[in-house]
Amino acid sequence: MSETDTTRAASGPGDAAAEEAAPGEAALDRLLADVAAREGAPPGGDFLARLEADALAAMPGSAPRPAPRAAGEGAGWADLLGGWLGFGSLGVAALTGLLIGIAPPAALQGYLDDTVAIGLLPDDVALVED
Amino acid sequence: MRQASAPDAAAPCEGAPDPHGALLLAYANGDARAARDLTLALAPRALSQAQRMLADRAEAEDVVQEALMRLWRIAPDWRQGEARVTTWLYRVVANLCLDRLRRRGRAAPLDAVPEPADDAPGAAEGLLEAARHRALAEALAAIPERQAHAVALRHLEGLGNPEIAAAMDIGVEAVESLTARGKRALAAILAERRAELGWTDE
Repeated sequence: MSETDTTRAASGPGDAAAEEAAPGEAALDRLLADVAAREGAPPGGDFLARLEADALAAMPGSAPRPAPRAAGEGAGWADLLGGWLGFGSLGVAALTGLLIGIAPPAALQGYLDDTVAIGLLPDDVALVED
Repeated sequence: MRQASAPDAAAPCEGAPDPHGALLLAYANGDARAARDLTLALAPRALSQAQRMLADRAEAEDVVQEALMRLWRIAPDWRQGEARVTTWLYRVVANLCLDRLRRRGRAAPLDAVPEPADDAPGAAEGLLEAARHRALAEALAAIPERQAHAVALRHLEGLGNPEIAAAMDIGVEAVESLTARGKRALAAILAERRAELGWTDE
């Protein structure tokens, strides 16, 4: 029991008075009995459904949770580029392009020697006046 | 507020095995049916308890939801045979209700609670009953928490002293003392509101 527990009744005129039944104790007994007899309305279907959903969500091992993601920022970029498979393919393509630029295979020499110009705008659109 | 963790109360368990404890074990092992059965078995009694203590349906529902969430969370750590699930729940609901009553008391002093207006015939008696119920809830918030806890479990829930002792993790003699002092304190508080509560003939 808490040492700090005190009662308001004990703060009355004296200890002897505090030991006596406080005025209105009969009324309190009736009130307690009246409230104790109250069952209140039973829980509604929606409320029970909510409680059950809580229970199922908290049930150990049953809640489908997303698989833990790989740590680090790289995982986000990998997802953006189609997962690790897509990310790997992109890397291979980039490396291939780099190698072609550094040491072009003989079969491509004829193409790479020619300068190719590709117009990105329709011919009738001029950004700068002549 | 004292937190009720898994069966830390180590309640002296008397009598038959706890069927709710077995269901809680099944729940902890992933039995969805046990989740439903426990909810249906425990929610109505917890809601009744909370309504009796709070005199407010919406708040009572909040308390029950919170109490059951705590039960689901401690389910994996529940040690069957040490405490009864219903005893644990009585304790947690009572604690949550007393917390709310105290917060409510700080927000709205006793004599500042407005009476609802209702002119319908026959409503006077219902209003008086509701006012008395609210006054009891407010008085519970105004006395020491452990006294309020003991009085509520003894006189509103009708629990025996051994079960209250288990729920509060104290001895039976302490329960008797807390209950007696709590009732005197409640009576003293309510006596000050005698006229308002229609007890002028006392």
